Amino acid sequence: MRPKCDPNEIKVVYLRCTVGEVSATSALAPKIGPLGLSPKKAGDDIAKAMGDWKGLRITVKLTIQNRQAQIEVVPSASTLIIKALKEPPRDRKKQENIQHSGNVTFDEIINIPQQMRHRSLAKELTGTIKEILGTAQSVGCNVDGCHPHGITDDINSGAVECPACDESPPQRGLPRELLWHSHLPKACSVTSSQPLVSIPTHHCPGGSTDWLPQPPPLKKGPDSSGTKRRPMRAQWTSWIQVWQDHLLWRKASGPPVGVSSPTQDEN
Amino acid sequence: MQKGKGRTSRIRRRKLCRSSEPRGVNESHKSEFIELRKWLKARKFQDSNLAPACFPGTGRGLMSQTSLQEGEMIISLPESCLLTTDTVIQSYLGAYITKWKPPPSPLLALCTFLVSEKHAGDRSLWKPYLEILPKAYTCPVCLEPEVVNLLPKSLKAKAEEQRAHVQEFFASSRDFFSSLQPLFVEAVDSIFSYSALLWAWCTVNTRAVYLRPRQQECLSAEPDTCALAPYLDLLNHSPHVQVKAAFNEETHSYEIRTTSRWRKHEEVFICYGPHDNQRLFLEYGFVSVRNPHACVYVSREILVKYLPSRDKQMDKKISILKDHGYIENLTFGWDGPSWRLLTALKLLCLEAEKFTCWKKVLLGEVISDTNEKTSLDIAQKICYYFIEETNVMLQKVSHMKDEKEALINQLTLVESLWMEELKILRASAETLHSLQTAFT
Repeated sequence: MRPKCDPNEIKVVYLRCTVGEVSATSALAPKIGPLGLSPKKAGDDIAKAMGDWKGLRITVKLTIQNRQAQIEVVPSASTLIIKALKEPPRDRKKQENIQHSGNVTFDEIINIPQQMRHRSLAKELTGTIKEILGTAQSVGCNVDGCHPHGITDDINSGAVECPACDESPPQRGLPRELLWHSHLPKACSVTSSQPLVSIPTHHCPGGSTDWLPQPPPLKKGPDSSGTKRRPMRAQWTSWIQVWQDHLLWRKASGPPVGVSSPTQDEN
Repeated sequence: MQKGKGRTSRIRRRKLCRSSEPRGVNESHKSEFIELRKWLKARKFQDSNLAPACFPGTGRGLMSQTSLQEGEMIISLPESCLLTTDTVIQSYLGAYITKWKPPPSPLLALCTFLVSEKHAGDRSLWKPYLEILPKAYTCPVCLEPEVVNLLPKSLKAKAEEQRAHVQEFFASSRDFFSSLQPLFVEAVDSIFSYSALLWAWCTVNTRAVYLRPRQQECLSAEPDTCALAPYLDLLNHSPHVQVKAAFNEETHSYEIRTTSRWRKHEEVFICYGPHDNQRLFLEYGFVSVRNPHACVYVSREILVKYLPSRDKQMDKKISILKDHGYIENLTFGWDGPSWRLLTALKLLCLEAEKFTCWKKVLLGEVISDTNEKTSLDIAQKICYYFIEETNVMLQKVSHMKDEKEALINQLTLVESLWMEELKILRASAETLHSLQTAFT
């Protein structure tokens, strides 16, 4: 039985190889040979398709359909940084254990996280940028002439501006309900109407309003300069609800002496 | 006023050029297609992109009514139109299937449903779809034995296997068919005959699409991946296109998206899979011309035949090849002999003193020039032998075409298969020749 359009006919293989070198075919042969492909042809196709990655070790994804393969690069942070260094091509056998001590400009550092965003674990683009700077530190190169760790400190203190990304951060692991119930403010749009703060059931008529939650603070962070501030509807919605309930209760029981009704200021 | 620059002359010139291309003839006015469209509309499927048509090369197919861009949806068939094992179990056959022990296979369930619905005729709910299905198929299991004799050896073996499998399938299901007697007025032996079951089996084999397997309790543990899709199965195969076809769980419909462009009034193709011609013929009963996946298989006996028999280590070499999986799937393709075939030949030609380097040979390294040359010579001899054999078979086929007029359709199919193999072998021979001149 061979039903049509069977997705199991297509195999995906991940390989790590050096582009453009002759010895690459002997690395490919044990993995590709059993699948029916010619390693020499696969090596030539990789060298042709990945011309600008010549001499670098990259991870390649091969989608194999019955002896024909399509080639894609799986980008990794270290390969993108080494590519950005634009080192001259070297003979791997003669020069071993070289130091990557070049210089990368900050603009290139901004380009790389945008390509790697879908694989990043960070919530915002600044987090991804810091991840790439960490990889740059492992590689051993400099960014704009100074050590990558210095740039990370500058970003944290807000001295350096980073562009914000347009898309929302990738949903990672935690389902929406758990995100909502955690106590950290989340910037994603919220559809649930449960309040973050539980409404106290015990009201003291003559008491002060100290038990009511304070309005959420206006957050000013390094990413707020020059960018659209995301409205923290979650916290404000809950705060407004709690105050509204309090006002209803006050209306029902009459205003106590000495307590003025708070003004609702909405940001 | 210059001649030939106006609108009329442009239209006339265009007509001259286009008329050389054969166009499809729209067949959506035929009664069976109108019935099918009404039946699909009742099940909430309406489509304005495609229309059934008859094309000169590929026969019946679907023609696009608009121009389709990359990534656009060709067709989206709702779940209510698909014929799956769920449909069978929810029908009148469900009770009998659930009762029968050992549990019948999903394939048996689908075939039984098809045969009984075909027998029901006008009373069947699926009548419009069954009218569209072909009355006869061209799979090797349906061909005459003398035609099957003319097929390539590897394909002939698989065709015999297929025939045995269908006969065994029929024999083992006869008891189940007898249990269905209460449903029918006539004797079940006359309804569920071998030819009826063969028709149903070929329908499922050639027209089913892949659906994610779901396990039904009343059916056996065989993977249940087949679903019949009316209207969608009119699409023909082309190896040069890529499509994304899958069942969408959110919209509960089977969707096909194209990754190529289609002009208006062009036939729309999908890709059944990256199959070579022998597999296409075995499973679907047709042959694709200029198929990039097509190849000619080299069996072990042929390999050994052309090697020097006085080599004492031949058995050892063959067992090494078997262990590493280099004895199957050795082919000649459009770009010459495959890498695996050349590597296997290099290992088999290894001289006795160099035998310890067999691992390097399997990794593709060059041992010596004489080794390379010998392996290329043997590959060329095998290629020429195959070309001679193909020519002999083509002569036999044309001979039989003159003798037996009734089998002409089947013989034309076999002839096209052999012609494609001949073209591949000739291309391989040229590549081998250029490889050899590089060594001398």
